[in-house]
Amino acid sequence: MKLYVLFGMLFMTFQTHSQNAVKITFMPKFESENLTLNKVYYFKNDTLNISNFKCYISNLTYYKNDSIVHSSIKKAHLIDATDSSSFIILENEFFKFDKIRFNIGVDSLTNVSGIFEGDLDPANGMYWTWQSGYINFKIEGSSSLCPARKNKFYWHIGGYSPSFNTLRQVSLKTNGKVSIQLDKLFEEIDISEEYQVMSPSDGAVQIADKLPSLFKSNQ
Amino acid sequence: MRKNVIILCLFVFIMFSFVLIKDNHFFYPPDYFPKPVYNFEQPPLDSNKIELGRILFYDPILSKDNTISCASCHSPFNAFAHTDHDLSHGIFDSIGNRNAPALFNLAWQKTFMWDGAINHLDMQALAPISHPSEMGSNINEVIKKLNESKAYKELFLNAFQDSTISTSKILKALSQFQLTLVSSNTKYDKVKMGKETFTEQEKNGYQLYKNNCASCHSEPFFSNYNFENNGLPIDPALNDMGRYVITENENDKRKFKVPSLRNLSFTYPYMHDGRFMTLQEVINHYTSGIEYSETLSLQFNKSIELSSNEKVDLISFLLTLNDKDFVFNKKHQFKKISDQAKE
Repeated sequence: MKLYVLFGMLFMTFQTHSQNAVKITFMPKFESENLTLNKVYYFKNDTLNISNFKCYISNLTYYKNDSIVHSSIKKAHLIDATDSSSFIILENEFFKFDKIRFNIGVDSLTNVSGIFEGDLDPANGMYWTWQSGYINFKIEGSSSLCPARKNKFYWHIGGYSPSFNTLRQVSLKTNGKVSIQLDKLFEEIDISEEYQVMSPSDGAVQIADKLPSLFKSNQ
Repeated sequence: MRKNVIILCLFVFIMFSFVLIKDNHFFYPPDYFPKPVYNFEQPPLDSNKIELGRILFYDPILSKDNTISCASCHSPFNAFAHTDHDLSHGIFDSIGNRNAPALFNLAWQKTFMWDGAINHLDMQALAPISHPSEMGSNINEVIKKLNESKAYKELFLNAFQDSTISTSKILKALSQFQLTLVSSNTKYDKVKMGKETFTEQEKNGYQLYKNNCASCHSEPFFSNYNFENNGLPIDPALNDMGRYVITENENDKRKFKVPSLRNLSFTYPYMHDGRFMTLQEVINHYTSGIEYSETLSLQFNKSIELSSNEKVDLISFLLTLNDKDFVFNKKHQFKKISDQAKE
Protein backbone atom coordinates (compact mmCIF):
# COMPACT_ATOMS: atom_id res chain seq x y z
CA MET A 1 0.00 0.00 0.00
CA LYS A 2 2.74 2.39 1.07
CA LEU A 3 4.52 1.51 -2.12
CA TYR A 4 1.53 2.53 -4.21
CA VAL A 5 1.36 5.89 -2.52
CA LEU A 6 5.06 6.38 -3.12
CA PHE A 7 4.71 5.47 -6.77
CA GLY A 8 1.65 7.68 -7.04
CA MET A 9 3.56 10.61 -5.62
CA LEU A 10 6.52 9.94 -7.86
CA PHE A 11 4.24 9.79 -10.86
CA MET A 12 2.58 13.04 -9.91
CA THR A 13 5.85 14.88 -9.45
CA PHE A 14 7.00 13.50 -12.79
CA GLN A 15 3.76 14.64 -14.41
CA THR A 16 3.85 18.13 -13.03
CA HIS A 17 7.47 18.35 -14.12
CA SER A 18 6.82 17.27 -17.66
CA GLN A 19 3.80 19.53 -17.89
CA ASN A 20 5.72 22.53 -16.74
CA ALA A 21 9.05 21.66 -18.32
CA VAL A 22 10.42 24.76 -19.95
CA LYS A 23 10.20 24.95 -23.68
CA ILE A 24 11.16 27.58 -26.18
CA THR A 25 9.52 27.78 -29.57
CA PHE A 26 11.42 29.35 -32.44
CA MET A 27 8.83 29.94 -35.13
CA PRO A 28 10.09 30.85 -38.60
CA LYS A 29 7.72 33.52 -39.92
CA PHE A 30 7.15 35.67 -42.93
CA GLU A 31 5.47 38.88 -41.88
CA SER A 32 2.56 37.86 -39.66
CA GLU A 33 2.17 34.25 -40.81
CA ASN A 34 4.15 31.13 -40.10
CA LEU A 35 6.62 30.33 -42.86
CA THR A 36 5.41 27.96 -45.57
CA LEU A 37 8.19 26.66 -47.79
CA ASN A 38 7.80 27.39 -51.52
CA LYS A 39 4.82 29.65 -50.93
CA VAL A 40 4.83 32.82 -53.03
CA TYR A 41 5.06 35.97 -50.95
CA TYR A 42 4.40 39.44 -52.24
CA PHE A 43 6.69 41.65 -50.28
CA LYS A 44 7.16 45.34 -51.05
CA ASN A 45 8.07 45.38 -54.75
CA ASP A 46 9.27 41.78 -54.77
CA THR A 47 7.68 38.41 -55.46
CA LEU A 48 9.61 35.73 -53.65
CA ASN A 49 9.58 32.28 -52.15
CA ILE A 50 11.74 30.44 -49.66
CA SER A 51 12.57 26.84 -50.53
CA ASN A 52 14.94 26.00 -47.69
CA PHE A 53 15.59 27.44 -44.27
CA LYS A 54 17.82 26.04 -41.54
CA CYS A 55 19.75 27.62 -38.72
CA TYR A 56 21.64 26.69 -35.58
CA ILE A 57 20.76 27.93 -32.11
CA SER A 58 23.54 27.24 -29.60
CA ASN A 59 24.62 27.96 -26.03
CA LEU A 60 21.05 28.75 -24.96
CA THR A 61 21.02 30.26 -21.47
CA TYR A 62 18.03 31.28 -19.35
CA TYR A 63 17.96 34.29 -17.04
CA LYS A 64 15.73 35.53 -14.26
CA ASN A 65 16.31 39.07 -13.00
CA ASP A 66 19.58 39.08 -14.92
CA SER A 67 21.08 36.05 -13.25
CA ILE A 68 21.52 32.69 -14.96
CA VAL A 69 18.95 30.12 -13.91
CA HIS A 70 19.66 27.42 -16.47
CA SER A 71 21.97 26.52 -19.34
CA SER A 72 20.62 24.19 -21.98
CA ILE A 73 22.44 20.85 -22.00
CA LYS A 74 22.17 20.66 -25.75
CA LYS A 75 25.26 22.16 -27.36
CA ALA A 76 23.61 23.17 -30.61
CA HIS A 77 20.10 22.88 -31.92
CA LEU A 78 19.22 22.78 -35.61
CA ILE A 79 16.06 24.52 -36.73
CA ASP A 80 14.86 23.09 -40.03
CA ALA A 81 11.81 24.54 -41.80
CA THR A 82 10.90 21.08 -43.15
CA ASP A 83 10.45 19.69 -39.63
CA SER A 84 8.21 21.64 -37.26
CA SER A 85 9.33 19.56 -34.26
CA SER A 86 12.73 21.19 -34.68
CA PHE A 87 11.20 24.58 -33.78
CA ILE A 88 10.93 23.53 -30.14
CA ILE A 89 13.73 23.28 -27.64
CA LEU A 90 12.60 21.36 -24.60
CA GLU A 91 14.40 21.51 -21.26
CA ASN A 92 13.74 18.59 -18.99
CA GLU A 93 13.00 20.67 -15.96
CA PHE A 94 10.98 23.54 -14.68
CA PHE A 95 12.32 26.95 -13.74
CA LYS A 96 11.20 30.53 -14.08
CA PHE A 97 12.91 32.86 -16.52
CA ASP A 98 12.30 36.21 -18.14
CA LYS A 99 15.16 36.41 -20.59
CA ILE A 100 17.14 34.09 -22.84
CA ARG A 101 20.50 34.47 -24.47
CA PHE A 102 21.75 32.31 -27.33
CA ASN A 103 24.02 32.23 -30.35
CA ILE A 104 22.88 32.06 -33.93
CA GLY A 105 25.30 29.48 -35.27
CA VAL A 106 27.94 27.11 -33.97
CA ASP A 107 30.81 28.44 -31.85
CA SER A 108 34.43 28.28 -32.97
CA LEU A 109 35.44 25.65 -30.42
CA THR A 110 32.83 23.24 -31.77
CA ASN A 111 33.92 24.11 -35.30
CA VAL A 112 37.46 22.89 -34.66
CA SER A 113 36.67 19.89 -32.46
CA GLY A 114 36.01 17.25 -35.09
CA ILE A 115 32.92 15.20 -35.69
CA PHE A 116 29.66 15.26 -33.70
CA GLU A 117 26.38 13.40 -33.98
CA GLY A 118 22.75 14.50 -33.98
CA ASP A 119 22.06 18.11 -34.90
CA LEU A 120 25.75 18.68 -35.62
CA ASP A 121 26.05 15.74 -38.03
CA PRO A 122 27.48 17.06 -41.34
CA ALA A 123 24.86 14.89 -43.07
CA ASN A 124 22.30 17.59 -42.15
CA GLY A 125 23.66 19.72 -44.97
CA MET A 126 24.91 22.47 -42.68
CA TYR A 127 28.63 21.72 -43.03
CA TRP A 128 31.09 22.82 -45.70
CA THR A 129 33.05 19.80 -46.84
CA TRP A 130 35.64 21.65 -48.96
CA GLN A 131 36.59 23.97 -46.13
CA SER A 132 35.91 22.87 -42.56
CA GLY A 133 33.16 24.76 -40.84
CA TYR A 134 29.47 24.82 -40.08
CA ILE A 135 26.94 26.88 -41.98
CA ASN A 136 25.27 28.86 -39.21
CA PHE A 137 22.26 30.09 -41.11
CA LYS A 138 21.01 28.93 -44.49
CA ILE A 139 18.21 30.30 -46.58
CA GLU A 140 17.50 29.61 -50.26
CA GLY A 141 14.73 30.50 -52.65
CA SER A 142 13.93 32.74 -55.55
CA SER A 143 13.10 36.40 -55.81
CA SER A 144 11.96 38.49 -58.75
CA LEU A 145 14.66 41.03 -57.91
CA CYS A 146 17.46 38.46 -58.01
CA PRO A 147 19.39 38.61 -61.30
CA ALA A 148 20.78 35.05 -61.06
CA ARG A 149 19.68 32.05 -63.14
CA LYS A 150 16.03 31.23 -62.38
CA ASN A 151 16.11 34.16 -59.94
CA LYS A 152 17.60 31.87 -57.32
CA PHE A 153 19.36 33.21 -54.27
CA TYR A 154 21.57 31.32 -51.84
CA TRP A 155 22.54 32.74 -48.48
CA HIS A 156 24.75 30.24 -46.67
CA ILE A 157 26.10 32.18 -43.74
CA GLY A 158 29.04 30.65 -41.92
CA GLY A 159 32.63 31.20 -40.86
CA TYR A 160 34.26 30.96 -37.43
CA SER A 161 37.73 32.42 -37.95
CA PRO A 162 38.35 35.86 -36.40
CA SER A 163 38.48 37.49 -39.85
CA PHE A 164 35.13 36.09 -40.98
CA ASN A 165 33.32 35.37 -37.74
CA THR A 166 29.59 34.98 -38.41
CA LEU A 167 28.46 33.77 -34.98
CA ARG A 168 26.03 36.27 -33.48
CA GLN A 169 24.60 36.52 -30.00
CA VAL A 170 21.00 37.36 -29.20
CA SER A 171 19.62 38.46 -25.87
CA LEU A 172 15.83 38.52 -25.67
CA LYS A 173 13.21 39.20 -23.01
CA THR A 174 10.72 36.42 -23.56
CA ASN A 175 8.41 33.91 -21.94
CA GLY A 176 9.35 31.23 -24.45
CA LYS A 177 7.74 32.18 -27.74
CA VAL A 178 10.23 33.53 -30.25
CA SER A 179 9.63 34.30 -33.89
CA ILE A 180 12.26 34.40 -36.62
CA GLN A 181 11.08 37.15 -38.93
CA LEU A 182 12.57 36.10 -42.26
CA ASP A 183 10.85 38.98 -44.09
CA LYS A 184 13.20 41.35 -42.29
CA LEU A 185 16.12 39.84 -44.16
CA PHE A 186 14.63 40.92 -47.49
CA GLU A 187 14.16 44.39 -46.11
CA GLU A 188 17.79 44.63 -44.99
CA ILE A 189 19.62 42.94 -47.86
CA ASP A 190 19.68 44.26 -51.41
CA ILE A 191 18.98 40.99 -53.16
CA SER A 192 19.72 42.46 -56.58
CA GLU A 193 23.35 42.78 -55.42
CA GLU A 194 23.86 40.14 -52.75
CA TYR A 195 22.24 36.91 -53.88
CA GLN A 196 24.97 34.31 -53.69
CA VAL A 197 26.86 34.00 -50.41
CA MET A 198 28.22 30.51 -49.88
CA SER A 199 31.56 30.82 -48.09
CA PRO A 200 33.11 32.65 -45.14
CA SER A 201 33.55 36.15 -46.59
CA ASP A 202 32.89 39.84 -45.98
CA GLY A 203 29.45 39.35 -47.51
CA ALA A 204 28.66 36.60 -45.04
CA VAL A 205 29.80 38.76 -42.12
CA GLN A 206 27.56 41.62 -43.29
CA ILE A 207 24.53 39.36 -43.49
CA ALA A 208 25.40 37.81 -40.11
CA ASP A 209 25.24 41.29 -38.59
CA LYS A 210 21.58 41.50 -39.58
CA LEU A 211 20.55 38.12 -38.16
CA PRO A 212 20.01 39.04 -34.49
CA SER A 213 17.29 41.55 -35.46
CA LEU A 214 15.25 38.70 -37.00
CA PHE A 215 14.60 37.19 -33.58
CA LYS A 216 11.60 38.70 -31.84
CA SER A 217 9.77 37.81 -28.70
CA ASN A 218 6.09 36.92 -29.17
CA GLN A 219 4.60 37.75 -25.83
CA MET B 1 57.69 -8.02 5.41
CA ARG B 2 60.06 -5.95 3.32
CA LYS B 3 60.29 -8.85 0.87
CA ASN B 4 56.54 -8.82 0.49
CA VAL B 5 56.53 -5.13 -0.25
CA ILE B 6 59.20 -5.59 -2.91
CA ILE B 7 57.29 -8.48 -4.47
CA LEU B 8 54.10 -6.45 -4.41
CA CYS B 9 55.84 -3.49 -6.03
CA LEU B 10 57.27 -5.77 -8.70
CA PHE B 11 53.85 -7.24 -9.32
CA VAL B 12 52.24 -3.82 -9.62
CA PHE B 13 55.04 -2.70 -11.91
CA ILE B 14 54.57 -5.71 -14.18
CA MET B 15 50.82 -5.26 -14.30
CA PHE B 16 51.25 -1.58 -15.00
CA SER B 17 53.65 -2.26 -17.85
CA PHE B 18 51.06 -4.57 -19.37
CA VAL B 19 48.55 -1.76 -19.26
CA LEU B 20 51.07 0.53 -20.94
CA ILE B 21 51.87 -2.03 -23.61
CA LYS B 22 48.19 -2.48 -24.32
CA ASP B 23 47.63 1.27 -24.64
CA ASN B 24 50.50 1.69 -27.06
CA HIS B 25 49.66 -1.27 -29.18
CA PHE B 26 48.44 0.69 -32.22
CA PHE B 27 50.31 3.92 -31.81
CA TYR B 28 53.88 3.95 -30.59
CA PRO B 29 55.84 6.98 -31.74
CA PRO B 30 59.43 7.38 -30.55
CA ASP B 31 59.96 9.47 -27.43
CA TYR B 32 61.48 12.39 -29.37
CA PHE B 33 58.16 12.93 -31.16
CA PRO B 34 56.15 15.60 -29.32
CA LYS B 35 52.68 15.07 -27.89
CA PRO B 36 50.12 14.51 -30.66
CA VAL B 37 47.60 17.22 -31.52
CA TYR B 38 44.83 14.67 -32.09
CA ASN B 39 42.72 13.83 -29.06
CA PHE B 40 42.84 10.05 -28.73
CA GLU B 41 40.28 9.84 -25.96
CA GLN B 42 36.99 9.73 -27.82
CA PRO B 43 37.00 6.96 -28.74
CA PRO B 44 40.41 5.39 -27.99
CA LEU B 45 42.14 3.45 -30.76
CA ASP B 46 40.72 -0.01 -31.10
CA SER B 47 41.58 -2.82 -33.50
CA ASN B 48 38.03 -3.22 -34.86
CA LYS B 49 37.69 0.47 -35.60
CA ILE B 50 41.12 0.59 -37.22
CA GLU B 51 40.33 -2.42 -39.40
CA LEU B 52 36.98 -0.93 -40.41
CA GLY B 53 38.75 2.32 -41.30
CA ARG B 54 41.29 0.38 -43.31
CA ILE B 55 38.60 -1.43 -45.30
CA LEU B 56 36.76 1.85 -45.95
CA PHE B 57 40.02 3.49 -47.02
CA TYR B 58 40.48 0.90 -49.77
CA ASP B 59 36.82 0.63 -50.81
CA PRO B 60 35.64 2.58 -53.90
CA ILE B 61 32.12 2.42 -52.43
CA LEU B 62 32.92 5.90 -51.08
CA SER B 63 32.75 7.33 -54.62
CA LYS B 64 29.65 8.05 -56.68
CA ASP B 65 30.25 5.38 -59.33
CA ASN B 66 32.20 2.96 -57.10
CA THR B 67 35.47 3.50 -58.97
CA ILE B 68 37.64 5.64 -56.72
CA SER B 69 38.84 4.81 -53.22
CA CYS B 70 41.00 6.89 -50.89
CA ALA B 71 43.88 4.64 -51.94
CA SER B 72 43.39 5.55 -55.60
CA CYS B 73 45.30 8.74 -54.85
CA HIS B 74 46.92 7.72 -51.55
CA SER B 75 48.73 4.49 -52.29
CA PRO B 76 50.50 2.69 -49.44
CA PHE B 77 53.54 2.03 -51.66
CA ASN B 78 53.95 5.76 -52.17
CA ALA B 79 53.73 6.57 -48.47
CA PHE B 80 50.05 7.25 -49.24
CA ALA B 81 50.77 9.81 -51.95
CA HIS B 82 50.49 9.24 -55.69
CA THR B 83 53.39 9.11 -58.14
CA ASP B 84 51.77 8.62 -61.53
CA HIS B 85 50.27 12.06 -61.81
CA ASP B 86 51.28 15.58 -61.00
CA LEU B 87 47.66 16.50 -60.22
CA SER B 88 45.21 14.09 -58.62
CA HIS B 89 42.72 12.18 -60.75
CA GLY B 90 39.14 11.50 -59.76
CA ILE B 91 35.93 10.01 -61.11
CA PHE B 92 34.85 10.42 -64.76
CA ASP B 93 38.53 10.99 -65.68
CA SER B 94 38.52 14.37 -64.03
CA ILE B 95 41.73 16.01 -62.93
CA GLY B 96 42.01 18.05 -59.77
CA ASN B 97 44.20 21.07 -59.27
CA ARG B 98 46.68 19.78 -56.70
CA ASN B 99 49.11 16.92 -56.12
CA ALA B 100 47.77 14.31 -53.67
CA PRO B 101 49.83 14.71 -50.48
CA ALA B 102 51.40 11.81 -48.59
CA LEU B 103 49.60 10.60 -45.48
CA PHE B 104 51.58 9.85 -42.35
CA ASN B 105 52.16 11.30 -38.89
CA LEU B 106 48.73 12.89 -39.17
CA ALA B 107 48.18 12.89 -35.40
CA TRP B 108 50.59 15.83 -35.15
CA GLN B 109 48.93 18.01 -37.77
CA LYS B 110 46.45 20.76 -36.99
CA THR B 111 45.32 21.40 -40.54
CA PHE B 112 45.04 19.29 -43.66
CA MET B 113 45.26 19.91 -47.41
CA TRP B 114 47.88 22.09 -49.11
CA ASP B 115 45.92 25.18 -48.11
CA GLY B 116 44.85 23.99 -44.65
CA ALA B 117 41.19 24.03 -45.68
CA ILE B 118 40.39 21.20 -43.26
CA ASN B 119 40.76 21.82 -39.54
CA HIS B 120 40.48 18.32 -38.07
CA LEU B 121 41.49 14.84 -39.19
CA ASP B 122 37.94 13.57 -38.54
CA MET B 123 36.52 16.03 -41.07
CA GLN B 124 39.12 15.45 -43.76
CA ALA B 125 37.45 12.54 -45.58
CA LEU B 126 34.30 14.60 -46.23
CA ALA B 127 36.25 16.77 -48.67
CA PRO B 128 37.33 14.11 -51.21
CA ILE B 129 34.03 12.22 -50.80
CA SER B 130 32.07 15.35 -51.78
CA HIS B 131 34.46 16.92 -54.30
CA PRO B 132 33.00 16.66 -57.82
CA SER B 133 36.37 15.80 -59.38
CA GLU B 134 37.48 13.40 -56.66
CA MET B 135 34.79 10.97 -55.46
CA GLY B 136 31.78 13.04 -56.51
CA SER B 137 29.50 11.63 -53.83
CA ASN B 138 28.22 12.87 -50.50
CA ILE B 139 28.07 11.44 -47.01
CA ASN B 140 24.34 10.65 -47.16
CA GLU B 141 24.85 8.60 -50.30
CA VAL B 142 27.76 6.76 -48.68
CA ILE B 143 25.72 5.99 -45.56
CA LYS B 144 22.91 4.65 -47.75
CA LYS B 145 25.23 2.37 -49.72
CA LEU B 146 27.01 1.07 -46.62
CA ASN B 147 23.65 0.38 -44.98
CA GLU B 148 22.75 -1.89 -47.87
CA SER B 149 25.76 -4.10 -47.14
CA LYS B 150 25.30 -6.82 -44.54
CA ALA B 151 29.04 -7.18 -44.20
CA TYR B 152 29.50 -3.51 -43.40
CA LYS B 153 26.68 -3.56 -40.87
CA GLU B 154 28.52 -6.35 -39.11
CA LEU B 155 31.82 -4.49 -39.21
CA PHE B 156 30.20 -1.38 -37.75
CA LEU B 157 28.56 -3.49 -35.06
CA ASN B 158 31.92 -5.02 -34.13
CA ALA B 159 33.64 -1.67 -34.14
CA PHE B 160 31.05 0.47 -32.37
CA GLN B 161 28.73 -2.06 -30.68
CA ASP B 162 25.99 -0.53 -32.82
CA SER B 163 25.22 -1.32 -36.44
CA THR B 164 23.62 2.06 -37.23
CA ILE B 165 25.95 3.55 -39.80
CA SER B 166 26.46 7.28 -39.31
CA THR B 167 28.73 10.08 -40.46
CA SER B 168 30.60 10.12 -37.20
CA LYS B 169 31.25 6.37 -37.18
CA ILE B 170 32.53 6.40 -40.77
CA LEU B 171 34.79 9.37 -40.12
CA LYS B 172 36.06 8.09 -36.77
CA ALA B 173 36.95 4.72 -38.31
CA LEU B 174 38.81 6.41 -41.18
CA SER B 175 40.64 8.62 -38.67
CA GLN B 176 41.64 5.66 -36.53
CA PHE B 177 43.19 3.84 -39.46
CA GLN B 178 45.03 6.95 -40.63
CA LEU B 179 46.31 7.67 -37.12
CA THR B 180 48.17 4.35 -37.22
CA LEU B 181 50.12 5.57 -40.26
CA VAL B 182 53.19 6.61 -38.29
CA SER B 183 56.50 6.95 -40.08
CA SER B 184 59.27 6.74 -37.49
CA ASN B 185 61.61 4.01 -38.62
CA THR B 186 63.92 5.70 -41.09
CA LYS B 187 67.70 5.49 -40.93
CA TYR B 188 67.53 9.00 -39.44
CA ASP B 189 65.32 7.62 -36.64
CA LYS B 190 67.66 4.69 -36.08
CA VAL B 191 70.61 7.08 -35.80
CA LYS B 192 68.56 9.20 -33.43
CA MET B 193 67.94 6.15 -31.27
CA GLY B 194 71.61 5.17 -31.37
CA LYS B 195 71.00 2.01 -33.37
CA GLU B 196 72.85 3.10 -36.51
CA THR B 197 75.31 5.78 -37.57
CA PHE B 198 75.42 8.17 -40.51
CA THR B 199 78.14 7.84 -43.16
CA GLU B 200 80.48 10.82 -43.57
CA GLN B 201 78.49 11.93 -46.59
CA GLU B 202 75.17 11.70 -44.75
CA LYS B 203 76.67 13.61 -41.84
CA ASN B 204 77.71 16.43 -44.18
CA GLY B 205 74.25 16.32 -45.73
CA TYR B 206 72.64 16.54 -42.28
CA GLN B 207 74.65 19.67 -41.54
CA LEU B 208 73.67 21.19 -44.90
CA TYR B 209 70.05 20.33 -44.18
CA LYS B 210 70.28 22.00 -40.77
CA ASN B 211 71.76 25.14 -42.30
CA ASN B 212 69.43 25.45 -45.27
CA CYS B 213 66.21 23.48 -44.88
CA ALA B 214 65.47 22.91 -41.21
CA SER B 215 63.59 26.11 -40.43
CA CYS B 216 60.59 24.91 -42.47
CA HIS B 217 61.26 21.19 -42.78
CA SER B 218 61.99 20.89 -39.09
CA GLU B 219 62.74 17.72 -37.14
CA PRO B 220 61.43 15.24 -36.22
CA PHE B 221 58.59 15.43 -38.78
CA PHE B 222 60.72 17.27 -41.34
CA SER B 223 57.97 19.83 -41.60
CA ASN B 224 56.83 22.61 -39.30
CA TYR B 225 53.36 22.06 -40.85
CA ASN B 226 53.07 25.81 -41.39
CA PHE B 227 52.21 27.64 -44.59
CA GLU B 228 55.10 29.08 -46.55
CA ASN B 229 55.79 30.64 -49.93
CA ASN B 230 58.85 28.85 -51.29
CA GLY B 231 59.25 31.01 -54.36
CA LEU B 232 57.62 28.82 -56.98
CA PRO B 233 56.60 30.78 -60.07
CA ILE B 234 52.82 30.63 -60.49
CA ASP B 235 51.47 28.12 -62.98
CA PRO B 236 49.19 30.37 -65.06
CA ALA B 237 46.85 27.48 -65.92
CA LEU B 238 46.14 26.85 -62.23
CA ASN B 239 46.77 30.32 -60.79
CA ASP B 240 46.70 28.68 -57.37
CA MET B 241 47.04 31.13 -54.48
CA GLY B 242 47.19 28.40 -51.82
CA ARG B 243 46.36 29.41 -48.26
CA TYR B 244 44.92 32.71 -49.52
CA VAL B 245 42.01 30.81 -51.07
CA ILE B 246 40.91 29.94 -47.53
CA THR B 247 41.82 33.00 -45.49
CA GLU B 248 41.52 35.74 -48.16
CA ASN B 249 44.40 37.33 -46.28
CA GLU B 250 46.88 39.05 -48.63
CA ASN B 251 49.76 37.79 -46.48
CA ASP B 252 48.78 34.22 -47.29
CA LYS B 253 49.05 34.51 -51.06
CA ARG B 254 51.11 31.73 -52.67
CA LYS B 255 51.62 29.97 -49.35
CA PHE B 256 51.21 26.20 -49.11
CA LYS B 257 51.53 23.77 -46.26
CA VAL B 258 55.13 22.58 -45.89
CA PRO B 259 55.26 18.88 -46.81
CA SER B 260 57.34 16.44 -44.80
CA LEU B 261 60.66 15.29 -46.25
CA ARG B 262 60.14 11.83 -44.82
CA ASN B 263 59.65 9.14 -47.49
CA LEU B 264 60.59 11.55 -50.23
CA SER B 265 61.81 8.83 -52.61
CA PHE B 266 58.32 7.36 -52.58
CA THR B 267 56.30 10.55 -52.94
CA TYR B 268 57.46 12.21 -56.18
CA PRO B 269 56.41 14.29 -58.04
CA TYR B 270 57.06 17.22 -55.72
CA MET B 271 55.32 20.48 -54.81
CA HIS B 272 51.61 21.26 -54.55
CA ASP B 273 51.19 20.94 -58.31
CA GLY B 274 53.66 18.09 -58.79
CA ARG B 275 55.86 20.20 -61.07
CA PHE B 276 59.18 18.55 -60.18
CA MET B 277 59.83 14.89 -60.89
CA THR B 278 63.24 14.58 -59.20
CA LEU B 279 64.96 15.70 -56.02
CA GLN B 280 67.65 17.27 -58.15
CA GLU B 281 65.07 19.59 -59.70
CA VAL B 282 63.77 20.49 -56.24
CA ILE B 283 67.22 21.37 -54.95
CA ASN B 284 67.98 23.37 -58.10
CA HIS B 285 64.79 25.32 -57.50
CA TYR B 286 66.00 26.30 -54.03
CA THR B 287 69.49 27.25 -55.22
CA SER B 288 68.60 29.06 -58.43
CA GLY B 289 64.85 29.14 -59.10
CA ILE B 290 63.34 31.17 -56.25
CA GLU B 291 61.00 33.85 -57.55
CA TYR B 292 60.60 36.91 -55.36
CA SER B 293 57.11 37.96 -54.35
CA GLU B 294 55.62 39.95 -51.46
CA THR B 295 54.88 36.90 -49.36
CA LEU B 296 58.12 34.97 -50.02
CA SER B 297 59.22 33.30 -46.79
CA LEU B 298 61.89 35.33 -45.02
CA GLN B 299 64.29 32.42 -45.02
CA PHE B 300 64.94 33.08 -48.69
CA ASN B 301 66.27 36.59 -48.03
CA LYS B 302 69.57 34.77 -47.86
CA SER B 303 70.05 32.68 -50.97
CA ILE B 304 70.86 29.00 -50.68
CA GLU B 305 74.22 28.21 -52.21
CA LEU B 306 75.30 24.61 -52.65
CA SER B 307 78.20 23.21 -54.68
CA SER B 308 77.46 20.14 -56.77
CA ASN B 309 79.24 17.99 -54.17
CA GLU B 310 77.15 19.52 -51.43
CA LYS B 311 73.98 18.76 -53.38
CA VAL B 312 75.06 15.13 -53.56
CA ASP B 313 75.74 15.09 -49.81
CA LEU B 314 72.41 16.73 -49.05
CA ILE B 315 70.55 14.16 -51.14
CA SER B 316 72.41 11.33 -49.40
CA PHE B 317 71.09 12.64 -46.09
CA LEU B 318 67.59 13.13 -47.46
CA LEU B 319 67.56 9.50 -48.52
CA THR B 320 67.98 8.49 -44.87
CA LEU B 321 64.46 9.86 -44.39
CA ASN B 322 62.91 7.04 -46.40
CA ASP B 323 60.95 4.69 -44.19
CA LYS B 324 60.75 1.30 -45.89
CA ASP B 325 59.23 -0.32 -42.82
CA PHE B 326 56.39 2.16 -43.05
CA VAL B 327 55.90 1.98 -46.81
CA PHE B 328 55.87 -1.81 -46.90
CA ASN B 329 54.03 -2.38 -43.63
CA LYS B 330 51.46 -5.08 -44.35
CA LYS B 331 49.12 -3.75 -41.65
CA HIS B 332 48.54 -0.65 -43.74
CA GLN B 333 47.93 -2.38 -47.02
CA PHE B 334 44.87 -3.23 -49.05
CA LYS B 335 42.17 -5.08 -47.22
CA LYS B 336 38.94 -5.99 -48.90
CA ILE B 337 35.64 -6.52 -47.23
CA SER B 338 35.23 -10.29 -47.32
CA ASP B 339 33.39 -11.33 -50.48
CA GLN B 340 31.73 -14.17 -48.64
CA ALA B 341 30.18 -11.88 -46.09
CA LYS B 342 29.15 -9.43 -48.80
CA GLU B 343 26.68 -11.94 -50.34
